[in-house]
Amino acid sequence: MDMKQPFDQVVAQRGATMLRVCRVVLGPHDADDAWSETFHSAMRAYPDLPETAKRGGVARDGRAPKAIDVLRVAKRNPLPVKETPGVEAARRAADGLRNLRKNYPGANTKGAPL
Amino acid sequence: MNDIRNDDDVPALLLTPVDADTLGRLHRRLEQGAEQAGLVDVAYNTIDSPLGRLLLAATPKGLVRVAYASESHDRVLQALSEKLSPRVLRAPKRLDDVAREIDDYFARRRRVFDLTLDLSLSRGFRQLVQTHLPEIGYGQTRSYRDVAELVGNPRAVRAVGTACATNPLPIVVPCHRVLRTDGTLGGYIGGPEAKTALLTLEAAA
Repeated sequence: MDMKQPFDQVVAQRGATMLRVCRVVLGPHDADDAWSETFHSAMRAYPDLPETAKRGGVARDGRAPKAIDVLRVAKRNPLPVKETPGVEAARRAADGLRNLRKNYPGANTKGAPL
Repeated sequence: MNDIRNDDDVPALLLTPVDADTLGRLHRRLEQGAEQAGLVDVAYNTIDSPLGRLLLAATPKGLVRVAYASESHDRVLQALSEKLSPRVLRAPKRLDDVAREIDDYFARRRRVFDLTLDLSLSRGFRQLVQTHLPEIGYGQTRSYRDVAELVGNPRAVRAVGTACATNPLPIVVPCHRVLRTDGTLGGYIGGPEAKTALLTLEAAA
């Protein structure tokens, strides 16, 4: 017989922790949406989950990966940052080329021909 | 919002309290979404009544369970999860009509419940008895023997007793209106005080 606890108890036991994790991973703006989608998906999958899932928590067993999905999408979107890493990289590349010309005057600085 | 986050902040962020209002709001959002998607196999709510806190539970077919606090609501919900479906969610909206009718009943504004019932927790003869119990009118009583005759099986007096004792919908399906043949109270799922209280309520009308 299926001994799974009522789904509402899963929400009661894991809801607060899940929201904290969503806030850390995604920031406050997306946390509510991720929380909602996670528990919605978890509820859909719940009857088919193995009995052991209740111990590890339905939100952690990989069948409700909404927070991870949101994280992946967020990674592809530009993030506001204090300094653009590209500027620093370009500066270092330019320094590198200058040092190369200075130390090895005859070196090919354009790369190998295609 | 997405300032660069120092990893040292993570443990602190994980300990940040989450206020009950936020979780309540998210729960309501979950209820709404799950209802729309047809995921709530068992919706429940608890209400206050003169006989203590009552658990009300409904399937899409109708009201499936009314439980007194003495039955332990946690245990009742666990049983619903095992017998019907683990998709059990507190979703008060689905129980609004039931809550209103029970309020009206205790306030003596209502004598007959006008609710769709789901008797799928009972089987066979018990279900048959429970289907017929609402025929005993408000303020009236019958003996277990009377009910056995009513369902066409006059010798099944004990089985009628069992059917009343296992009624999943006390108050709404009026098993409290069934007494012993000698007029004494007989058992009741909510305890003898609850049975007396209901009979007194109905007699006073």
